[in-house]
This record gives sequence, C-alpha cells and structure tokens, in this order.
Amino acid sequence: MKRATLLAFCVPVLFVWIAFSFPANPDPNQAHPVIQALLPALWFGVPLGIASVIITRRVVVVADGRDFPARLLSVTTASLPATKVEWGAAMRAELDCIEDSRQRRRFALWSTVAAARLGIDRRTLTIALAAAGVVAIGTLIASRVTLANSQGGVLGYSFLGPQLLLAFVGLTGSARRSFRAGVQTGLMATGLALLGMLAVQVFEAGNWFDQAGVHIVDGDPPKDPLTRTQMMLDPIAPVFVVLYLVAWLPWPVIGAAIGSKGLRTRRQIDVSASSMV
Amino acid sequence: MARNRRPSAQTIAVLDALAQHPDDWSYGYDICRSIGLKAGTVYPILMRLADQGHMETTWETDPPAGRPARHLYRLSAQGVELVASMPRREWRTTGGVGANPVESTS
Repeated sequence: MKRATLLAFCVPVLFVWIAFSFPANPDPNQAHPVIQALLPALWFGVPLGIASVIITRRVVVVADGRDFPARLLSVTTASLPATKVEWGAAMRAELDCIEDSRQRRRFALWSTVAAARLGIDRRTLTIALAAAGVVAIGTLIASRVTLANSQGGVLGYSFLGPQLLLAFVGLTGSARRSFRAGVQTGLMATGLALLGMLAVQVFEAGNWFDQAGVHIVDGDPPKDPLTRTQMMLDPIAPVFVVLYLVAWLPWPVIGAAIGSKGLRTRRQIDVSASSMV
Repeated sequence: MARNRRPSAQTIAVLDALAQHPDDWSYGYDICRSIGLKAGTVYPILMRLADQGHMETTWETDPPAGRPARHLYRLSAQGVELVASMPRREWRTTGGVGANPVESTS
C-alpha cells in the first residue's frame, strides 16, 4: 500500500513537472524551464497527486475478484446507494457466471458504464447545475472587472475560483451520503462548469477584442493579427481545456474525501452514543 | 408526477425478450445476448422496469456448485399488461436494436 501510495502521488507530480518543462517558446533571459516548471508542478501537480492517492487507496481497498474485469466491476459498484446495492451485486454475480475472457471484459466494461450512472439523482444534478451557474457568472464578473481595470485576463480566476467551489461541491455531494456520491456530483459539476465557463469566455472574448484588441485569457495583444472569430475561439484551444481539467478535477475528489471522512466520524459518534444509551 | 413516456426501442426489445417466456425467469447476460444490446444499455432499462413495477426480480435460490446465485427477471402482471397494450406496429419500428424483435417474436 505504501509503495502504491507513493507512486500514486509522485507520478502525477512528475508528469506535470515534465509537461511544464518544455514550453513552446522558452525565454532565454529567465531561469531554466525545468526550474520555472517547479511552481506549476506544485500548483497543479500536488492536488493531482493527492487526488490520485485518495482514489488509489480506495481502489486498493474495494478491488476484489479473480481478474481485471471482476476487480473493475467491484470498484465501480462499490458504495452504491442502498436502493441500488442489489443491482451492483446482480452485475457482479452475472460476470462471475461468464467464462469467456473476451466476453467477461466486454460485460464488465459496459456494466461499468451502467454502474457509473447509478446514484445520480435530482440532487446531484441540482448541485452540479448550480455550481456550473456560479462558475459561469463568476467568469462574467471576472471578465468585466479585469477588462475595465486592465488587470490582465481571466486566467487568474479560472485557476483559483472554480477549484474552491468544486472542492465544496465534492464535500456537499458526499455529505450524508458517500465518497462515491461526492465524486459523482463533483465530476458532473466539473464538466458542466467547464462548459459554462468556456461559453462565457467565448462570448466575452469578442467583447475584449472589440474594446481592447487583446486576448481574454491573459489580457495580452495577439502576436500575429487575428480575426474576431479567431480571438473568440482562443479560450477553447485544447491546451486550455486540458489545463483546466488538470487543475480542476482533483478538487471535487479532495472535497468528497473530506466530506466522507466527516460522514464516517459522525457515524462513529452516533454508534458510540447509541451504545452508551 | 410520473411521466408516461413511450418506451424506447431498446426498452421494447427488453420487454419483448422477457415477454417471449413470461412465466420463466431470465438473467441479465442472456437478455443482452438475445437482443444484441450491451449491459450498459440493458441494466439501466431493467432497473427502470423494476422500479416501475413492470418486472419482478429475485435471486436464484439453488445455483450449481461453484457458481454464484444470479439475479433473475420476469415480467410482472403489470408488465404483461403493458406489453399486451402496445400496438404490434411498435415492435416493427424498433430500428437500431441488434436483433429485430419482430423477427425474434415471429
């Protein structure tokens, strides 16, 4: 477990550090790119490493079965809500009856798809939609405030505000439920928030272009002349989308872990109190 | 308020598979294979049918040695009524399902 935990933490951190060590346009007047990449490695890599450790530890605990399909299904059907526990057991039992290894892989994979949706209810959707709305409105406010005051683009907000909110969403989603519920809520919120934020950024990028002729992301003018459409599409460049996902995804997991830890503590207190009565 | 939507082609295919032997219990993998749909599609449908009372579920009581008990499914009286109330042309418009229910029922 210790080795798995260490690897789960170090691999994402090193991956991020290496990824940031090869900038597209290195500046010869600044420190070596590897040194410059230290801060991003800490900022992006450490939360990713922590989330990776949380997931790994839970997977190691719940993974059970004779082969990979069985272990995969045991992980994805773990911690289901009480009303769906029977269906998780049904899929696992069905898999146990399939002998052909190819059929086992296919069945486990598609059952995993079904199991991933189990437990997503109206509360999950409501929290996720509310979070996405807050992120979108925050983006609009950040855009207008920074544009009006020439304080750079919305990059700072994009890498600070949503993380805290998504951690809170993970925490709220797991409250009185489970780590699984928190992660499901958080991941749904992350996806919807990303769509909401990018939609606002695309719209606002046109506004920034018209008023100041600069990028919405960092507030800098384009190096080469760009059309209004090109400037509007700039915020949804794949590099930004990947960066947002790397920066955001760990936080709902961390929030869900904190929320479910509080849940376990409360249950232990309840059990202790009832045993004393 | 419960919505009374028209069943999807996949739901009709599952109902059809169950309706072929209304008194017998079927199991999930068997249904998947008989209608050519993946478990990721069939299980959510089975869950929904059970929640709506169209299907009964039980666990195998006496599984062979070395094999775990399976979860079994069959139409409830309400499910049989639902299938009977569906116009036959419904079965013929189930495009996109691996095995056409029309052919499987005829």
